This record gives sequence, structure tokens and C-alpha cells, in this order.
Amino acid sequence: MHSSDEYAERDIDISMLTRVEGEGSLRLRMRDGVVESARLSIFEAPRYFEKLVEGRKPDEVIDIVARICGICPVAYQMSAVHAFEDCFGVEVEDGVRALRRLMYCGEWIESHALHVYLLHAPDFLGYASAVEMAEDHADIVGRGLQLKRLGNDILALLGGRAIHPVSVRVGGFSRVPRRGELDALRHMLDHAVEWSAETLDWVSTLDAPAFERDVELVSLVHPHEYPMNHGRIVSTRGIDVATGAWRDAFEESQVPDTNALHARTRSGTTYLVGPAARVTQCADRLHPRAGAALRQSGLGGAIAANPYWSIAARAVELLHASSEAVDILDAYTRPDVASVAWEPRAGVAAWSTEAPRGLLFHRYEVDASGFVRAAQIVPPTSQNQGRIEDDLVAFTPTMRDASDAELTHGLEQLVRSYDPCISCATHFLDVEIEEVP
Amino acid sequence: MRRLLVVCGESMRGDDAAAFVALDALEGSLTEDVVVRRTRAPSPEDFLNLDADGVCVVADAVRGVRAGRVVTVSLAAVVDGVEEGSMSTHTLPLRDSLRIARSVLGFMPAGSFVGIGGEEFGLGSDMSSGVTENLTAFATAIVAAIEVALAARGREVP
Repeated sequence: MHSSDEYAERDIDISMLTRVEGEGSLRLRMRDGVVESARLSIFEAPRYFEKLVEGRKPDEVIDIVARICGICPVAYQMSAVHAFEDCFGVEVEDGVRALRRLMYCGEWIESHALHVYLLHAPDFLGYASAVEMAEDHADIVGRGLQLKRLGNDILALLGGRAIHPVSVRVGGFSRVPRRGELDALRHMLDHAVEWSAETLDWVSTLDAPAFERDVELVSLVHPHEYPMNHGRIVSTRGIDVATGAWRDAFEESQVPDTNALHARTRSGTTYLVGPAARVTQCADRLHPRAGAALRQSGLGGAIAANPYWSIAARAVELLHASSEAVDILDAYTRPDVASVAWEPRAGVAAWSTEAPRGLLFHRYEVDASGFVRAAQIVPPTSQNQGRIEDDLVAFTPTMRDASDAELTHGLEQLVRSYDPCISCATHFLDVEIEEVP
Repeated sequence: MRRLLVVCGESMRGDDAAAFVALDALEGSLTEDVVVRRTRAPSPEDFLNLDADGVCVVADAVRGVRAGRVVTVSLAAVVDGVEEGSMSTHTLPLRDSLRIARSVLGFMPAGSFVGIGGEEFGLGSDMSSGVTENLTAFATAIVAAIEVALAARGREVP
């Protein structure tokens, strides 16, 4: 416990925030106990993917952008392929569309299981890492690992390999699986549904810090399905634009001390994308099993208001993704052709899909031969950065009387709640708190 | 499973492809009960289905060792060794993956890490001559590691 005088003069310097994907730093500026600013500084060198794809053809772009992230490569492929297909007027058959959703289910399962069990849960249970947590909670960690492996197995089957898959092509896939190949996954998916339901039951028992704020939530919204590859970009405060019209409602800007661009609404406000936004806006389009589990948990309101309860949103989506994967497998009929023919045309190819961490926007200017002349890629972490900073400013005073160690832990846990993939925005998070007397 | 071979690397990064090339060379010489998992980097879940009386070999290219030199270290020694860090923030070091696997399995996977020293790891680079010239020795060491681990458990070596 600190007195007010002690608090006003203290410096807290956390050299590294662990259990996030990538590397960056966090700097809080405090005066008289009040946080004046918070800045997530991304100091990893820019990765230049938007320049790397210039002069490339669409199918090359799809494989290149998959390299942006080892956790969510499918998301990058999906936003790109749908953008090109929309631009070129390519229609894929229902079987291909279902396989793309199955692929996204695999990525959501793999990514959410990783975050829930290995990155976020140790915070709730008081462990420094999943290594220590596993020593005391082997069954729980084992369940998470089984889910993560199944997600990767889905990706490996559909994409050729789990990390940076290579099968997605404009018009479909380079290859589509035979019925028998998918059957190999079917038995494990029954287990995955069970494990996912257990995951939500388990996270519902965790204690989350009491911190609520009113935030604009943004996600794709589709009239009939839980959003992955289609829908409109909709917010809880009235934004409603077409899937490819992200720039009509949002804009990116360069801010000091970071190599990642920040996104805000056109009116200059921060917002939140990701599982909490999807669950809040699209709860009625969850798989019935996941929807019922969400209602039974009673956490719908907390997911919308309290960032720490994003762990429950991910658990709900684990159940949705595993349940939908079962449905897709049971209904699967191998498409007649893996990929339909297409012709390039000049235009703007723009589309958004729902990465595990939230809305992912791609925009390509394409010439008549199909070569990309300019590109813009807006990952979810870039969109959430401003919101994370706002929440850090709002959260820190709630721990005014906390020890340095408690405050440090609280700040780290809050940042981890967003599951930031700094590698996508660009990498490494050091946290530095500066108290200005 | 009783025999697990975890083959690690990235086929587009020069010497990092060494374990995959060695695996190709072993085609036909591994017994059918050897389960092979190909991965960019070993994760705890790679070891989940290993039987308590099973053995595991992890094969990968390594830095800090002369190019082409083959080294074998017991998995127990890897777990007890110093923290080696990871080449990616998206992966766990082998030491931590094994520690989590040990906790989840309830036993320490028996077996070895077999590495070959590399020097060319850039995206699109060719495999170095040191590695290329010692791939046969690397493949032989992988098979030997499986046999030695089985022998150490008192099993009949096929």
C-alpha cells in the first residue's frame, strides 16, 4: 500500500511485457497520480508488406500476405482473396465458401485456444507463464493444447500446412480435400465441442478485475451468419458501411514513437474490434450451442463492457467455431472444381474479414493485367491500439493504491486482454511508467 | 504413440530445411510405428499423444554450432538446461515446450534432440555446403537417437 505522496513520486519501469505476440513498448506518463498519456510504441522496423506486394499478381499476394503473421495467416489470405474476387467479379461455389469458413474456424480455434490457455489464463490464476501454470493445472492446459492442435490440424489439411498455408487461390483453392480426409477430423471435432464448452464453463469461474468502460465496438455483421468472410462493417454507435468501404468510416494516421499506424473513426474516436465486438453485435447469429452457452454464462454484458472478459468472448467463439466446423464437415460435398477460372480487371479490390483478433481490411489498386499497383492493409491490432491506450489511461487510477508490482501486473493483464499481435501491426512490448512530479 | 519424431524447420530458409531433407532421405527406413510431426518449431501439443513408455526425437537445425556438425542432447538435458530463447515471438523455446508437455503428460518424454549446425538461415537462401555434406550423418543420427532411446527403455530395437 502506498501513501499519496509515495505514489506521486514513484517511477515504475517494466522492461518487458510477456505473453503478447510480438515486440513493442508501453509508456505511461503520469502527473500527480493521473495518467496524462499512454503510448504503445512499436519500435520494430516496418515490415513493408504493402510495398512488397506491389507489382505482384493476386495469387502471389495471397501467399505473401500470409507471411505477415504466424498465428493468423488465414485471415490475411481471406481478406485478400475476397477483395480480388469482388474486384474481378468471381463467384465461388458454396462448397468452396464452406471450406473457407472451415479454414477460418481452424484459425479461430488455434488462435483463441493459444490466447485463452497459454497467454491470458496465467494472469487470472496468478502465474508468470503457462509453464508454471501447467505444473499445477495440467488438465486445463492439456485441454487447451488439444484444442490448439486440432485448429492447426484443420489448417494443415485445408492449407497444406498449419503455419502460412499455401492453398488459397483466387476462385477457390489449389486443391480441395476428399470426403475421407475430412472424416479424419470429425471424431476430434466432437471432442473439441466438448472441450470448448468446458472452456467457457471454466473461464466463467475466473475473477476479472472490475473495470468497465463505454466503448464503440466494430465488427462485420451479416444478416444470417456469424461474421467471418462476409457482412457489413457495423458499429455500436451507428457506423454501417459495406465490407470493402472501411475507408469511408475510418482512417489511419502516423503517430510519434511508433512504427505502426493508428486507426480511428472519421470522427477521431478510438474503437474496439475483436471477439468482444463480434459476440456483442452478433450474439443472435452464434451457433445455437454457443448462443445457449453464452446466455447460460450470463457474461454477455460483461464481455461488452469489461476488456478482461474478452477471455469469455474467445471461449464463446471457440464453441462457435468447433460447432460450426462439425456442421460443415457433416454437410460437406467435395466441390466439382477446386478453383473457377477468372480474368483480371482494373479496379480497386477492397474487403474486410474477421481475423481472430478482429476486423482486417485489405485494399489493392489493380491494373488491367492484374498487377497490384498500391496496397493498404489494416490489421486489427492497429485498430485497437488507440483503444488500448485510452483504456490504460482510464484503468490506472483504479489501481491508485496498488503496489508497483500489482500495478505492473494490472497493466500487463489489461494489454494482454486485447490479445495484441504486434507482429501484425509490426513486434516486443516493454512497459515504462514515468511519474512526472 | 510409442515413437515420435518431431521434424522442425522452414523449407525456404537455407539450412533450416535440413531436418526436412534428412527426413526425405529416411523414407523407407523408418518403421511404420514412427509418427512424424512436421512443424516450424516444436510446440507442447506436438508431444501430447506420446505414451509413457514411448520415445521422442526432435530434429532441427541449430545456431552456435559449426555448420554441418551433428549434436545429440537428451531431452531431459534440454529441459534442465539454460533458457535458450526463441527465434520467434510466436513460438516457445524447445525447453519451455518440453516443460509444459512434461506437466501435461505427467512424465518427461524420453528421447533426444538431434541438431545440425547451420549458418545460412535467410529467407530464400541456399543450404550451406557444411550442412549439405553432412545430411547423411544427420539422418543417421536421427535414426540412432530413436534406437538408443528405445534401448535405454529396455525395448527391443527393430
